[in-house]
Amino acid sequence: MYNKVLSGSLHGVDGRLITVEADVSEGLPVFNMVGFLASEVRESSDRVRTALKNSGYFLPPKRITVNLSPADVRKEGAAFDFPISIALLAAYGYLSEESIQDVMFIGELSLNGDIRGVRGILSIVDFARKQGIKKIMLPYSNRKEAAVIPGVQVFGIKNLKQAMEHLLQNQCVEQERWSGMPGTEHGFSIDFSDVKGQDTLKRATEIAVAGMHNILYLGAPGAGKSMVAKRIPTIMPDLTYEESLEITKIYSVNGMLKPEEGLLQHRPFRMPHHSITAQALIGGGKIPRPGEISLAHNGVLFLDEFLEFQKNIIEMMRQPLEDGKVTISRLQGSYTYPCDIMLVAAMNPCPCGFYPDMSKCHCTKPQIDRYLKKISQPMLDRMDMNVSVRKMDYDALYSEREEESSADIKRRVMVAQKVQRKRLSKYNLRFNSQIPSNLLDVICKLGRKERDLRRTAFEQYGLSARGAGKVLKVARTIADLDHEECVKERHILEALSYRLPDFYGGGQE
Amino acid sequence: MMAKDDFYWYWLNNINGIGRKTIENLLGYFGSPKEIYEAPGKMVFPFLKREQQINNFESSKRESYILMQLNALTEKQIRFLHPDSPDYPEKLRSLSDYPFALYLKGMLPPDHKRAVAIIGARSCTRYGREMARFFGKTLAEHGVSVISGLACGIDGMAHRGALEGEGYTLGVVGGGIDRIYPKENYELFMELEKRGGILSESNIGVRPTAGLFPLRNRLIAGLSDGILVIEAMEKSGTFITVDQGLEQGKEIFALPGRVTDLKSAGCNNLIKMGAHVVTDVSDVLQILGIEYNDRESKTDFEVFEGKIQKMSLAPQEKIVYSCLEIEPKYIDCIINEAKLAPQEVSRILSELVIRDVIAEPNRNYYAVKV
Repeated sequence: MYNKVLSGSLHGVDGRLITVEADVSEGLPVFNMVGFLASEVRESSDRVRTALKNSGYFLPPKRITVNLSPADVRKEGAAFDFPISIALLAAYGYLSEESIQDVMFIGELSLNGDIRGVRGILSIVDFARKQGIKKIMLPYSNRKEAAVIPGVQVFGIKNLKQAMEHLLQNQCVEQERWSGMPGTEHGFSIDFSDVKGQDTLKRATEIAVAGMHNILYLGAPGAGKSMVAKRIPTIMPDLTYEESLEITKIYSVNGMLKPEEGLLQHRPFRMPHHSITAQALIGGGKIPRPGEISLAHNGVLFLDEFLEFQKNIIEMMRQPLEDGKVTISRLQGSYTYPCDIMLVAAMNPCPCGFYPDMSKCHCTKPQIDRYLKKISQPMLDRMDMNVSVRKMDYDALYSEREEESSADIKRRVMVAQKVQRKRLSKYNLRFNSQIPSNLLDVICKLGRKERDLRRTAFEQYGLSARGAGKVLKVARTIADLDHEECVKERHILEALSYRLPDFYGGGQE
Repeated sequence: MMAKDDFYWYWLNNINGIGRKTIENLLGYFGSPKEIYEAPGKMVFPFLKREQQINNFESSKRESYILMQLNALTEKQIRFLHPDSPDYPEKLRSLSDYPFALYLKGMLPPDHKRAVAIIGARSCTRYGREMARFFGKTLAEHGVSVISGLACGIDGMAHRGALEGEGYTLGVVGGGIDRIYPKENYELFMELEKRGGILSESNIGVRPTAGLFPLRNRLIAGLSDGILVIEAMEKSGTFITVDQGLEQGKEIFALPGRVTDLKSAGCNNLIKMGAHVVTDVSDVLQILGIEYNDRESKTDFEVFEGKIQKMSLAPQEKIVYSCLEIEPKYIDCIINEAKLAPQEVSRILSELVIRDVIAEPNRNYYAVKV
């Protein structure tokens, strides 16, 4: 007897429909599986047979053939155990064809018949919905994640027996429902008001977030660079449903969602160690998986000890950062992961980290030069802003001054971003940092006084064309924070103090 | 045509393993290098202690090789000076251990002019750097030759100042002239070759090893009439020069610093021990008996208050400016002192940098210009 059920697999962060066909016929008892299978899928036959036996279903010795189609797509992962077992049960006549029609099955089997969670559920479910599938039965631990997608009935199943009961006695498992996006006040455990003093650092960070400019912190160890960086997600606008879905998909694909977690509620903050490999940062592997750059999608990628990262890795980030997505090509096809991130990097100003505090720094000039020369042009080109951070003194650290909370800063950031979106939407851009150089003069119109200023600054600071462009983009964001339609002198002047350093041309005296 | 003297002096100074002491003994006995060269071996050998020295001495008498080396120097525009050269610096002759060989690129300090050595630590504050430059410049403007050691820190700034003041400046180095050390002073080396001079006791190719620097310091002291110490910690190589200078009877000047400032402790000590206190370039000039051109330098060294008025700053700019000092100050400190909004302060600071009123020596650290 022949029967088939629907299942799904992952392709990058997208899903793909897979049909599982099972046929049981007379002949020598074998369990054949075909359809371009990876070894973990091939092993499925043993798991399925044992799980069925332990769940109380006796399979008479017959010739079993299972086919996963389309046959030209390589099948990977353990999520086919469940659909295979259902297809078999149907082929043996335990289930009627109607009861499994238009139902999708996903899940890994344990030998005792329990259904285990798999990764990438969100992408598969989202894809299934687009294909018009209405019912999905999947592992219990994945139910919250899958319920996020509207218009699909999701059933979280604990084991094979329960699945059979549900299918035979009609809907004994309750449909999982999503509780909706959490409120905006959903708390972070950290807040900007934890950071004492550091006015310049905070101001620069606010500007960077408002325009999604990549920023480089230069400062002594323990000055608060990481502390501020970690708080950046708290001043970014709340995640929209679409944004959250995008991130959750990536985390789901990587198997990084907790079982009881639905949509991610916070913008990600990723802080990979500097020993990271290219594959781990950009994404890759034999079966491509998203890297840190994608895990930070819609959030912050923080590279501490920026100089210690391999140059070629930083170089590789160029294309993804510009495009907002990373494409990894493999023999079996190419995979695209989104990576719309704000890059925050931190480095010490000298090997010991205390320069220019001469009472602590004992580095010689050549040592400092050698250290700074490790930062390459490609690394600098990734950054839009640079600010120096100094270790706090006692007074500032323990002052009674009320520090601004994340909520206050966030409000300003959101206004500035709204203004940008309105101005930039006709160019298909979202943030000032994305303005291409050919549109710069159109979008950031300068008056005569401002143009004169740009010229003097260009000469006085010895800016490059690229450097001057970045100053202008940052000035545009400062003007947006200032509710000004035109970029004024004062905005350019402030932006100049965050300009990128020229470590080669004697940026330091 | 090369003087025959040069040949013998060059030979005598470049025998492996034979140092100043031995040469002195030989000269004392034979009278001149030529006679040593021509003397039979058995007369010379008693002065040489080790077998190796005798071997080296014997094998060194290769006329063509010596001539080739001297030619190589000429090709590199390096002059070889010895006590019999007509332009051997007179000031050095009075040293008890005057050098038997000097290698020179560029010019020597003019004999009729006064010379001041400006020396100090390599690691120094911005105050030290700016002061070194200021004194280098104003002394040069008053026709004083500025002598220093071409090191980083105070030395380099003194040379730069002297070049800015369009005066003569001499760099005395420890290693060979062709060994540019430290590398960051490359441009300064090039500039001194053209507009001043670089002097060394070591032949070209000699690496600047630690032992050579005290020897160099005695030359710096010997070539100058006064020694001005800008910034030095309590224990510093600078004091080798000062000690040499004292032995040679030179005037010692010291720039005072704050008592709490470790980098000025050496200078303050010198003052305690009787060095001339220098608060203005006229202090140096008077003691050296040079007429002091009053008006010219006063504008440079004026108090900052007066300077602000001249620059026509807006009220807020004045507030920010008055928070600045000669030592670089971090922007947050300026914000706190000026009690203005961060964006205001960074705007004003950028504006002042663009107008060249203040300097930003390090990212987001600001200082007044001197």
